Amino acid sequence: MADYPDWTRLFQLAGTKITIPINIEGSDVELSVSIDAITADLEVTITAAEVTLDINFLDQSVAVFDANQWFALQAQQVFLQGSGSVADNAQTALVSRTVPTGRTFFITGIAYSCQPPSAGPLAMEGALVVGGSIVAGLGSYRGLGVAFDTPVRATAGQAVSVNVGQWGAGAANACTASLWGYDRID
Amino acid sequence: MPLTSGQRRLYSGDYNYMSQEWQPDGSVVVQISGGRSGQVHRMHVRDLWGEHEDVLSEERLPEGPPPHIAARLAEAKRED
Repeated sequence: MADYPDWTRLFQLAGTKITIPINIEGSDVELSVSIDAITADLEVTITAAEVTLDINFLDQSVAVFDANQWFALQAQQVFLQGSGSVADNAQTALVSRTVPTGRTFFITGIAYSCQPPSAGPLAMEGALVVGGSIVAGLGSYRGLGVAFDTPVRATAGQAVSVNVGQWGAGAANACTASLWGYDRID
Repeated sequence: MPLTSGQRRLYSGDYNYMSQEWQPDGSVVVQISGGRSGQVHRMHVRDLWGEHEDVLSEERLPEGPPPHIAARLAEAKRED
């Protein structure tokens, strides 16, 4: 398609199968799209300094993260925090959960720290344990937090914990651990 | 032994937030909040998640903001 500066046209399409490849280059582009179909496949690539997207889905299944789906997940958000004493050169589960019945727990992050009153550890470890297996072991000086780009899945009945270890302090220390994510109701 | 109301929430998942304060004797004070009920349960549990899990004490904390905050919220709403 040629370049049409200041060109505006309304498309109204009706049919059983419609495919529209669109390539737009311009300093100021406004695109309004309305799709009403049994199945729809919309692929959009935008390169711009500032992008505003206003998307409304009236569908049964979409391949992008739908706002309504996200709100449903937010309602099932789970944040766990635990605290306790960790002996010198030892590791202790400071926060734990048994995944409730009828749920799948998607863990999106863990954190741990310690609050030494005097002698602090030379090294710490925080381990995420799911169903008896260490699925992530983190090392640090006095604490760490990490958000997983791929959520860790735990199924109903599985035990999940964050085990915190501290080494070289010469004494027990008060430590904390956190664990967060969301439940999917199965 | 039947589950307490707090244990029932633990195993049904009716909560969004949980804190655990581990005690020197290995027991733990668990507090859960959020969920459909919106209630706050605080339990002292021995052998949490274990075969012999035992709720030593359990209380339901007052829901919502304290009375003086509730009064201010109500007053602020009236002035809107």
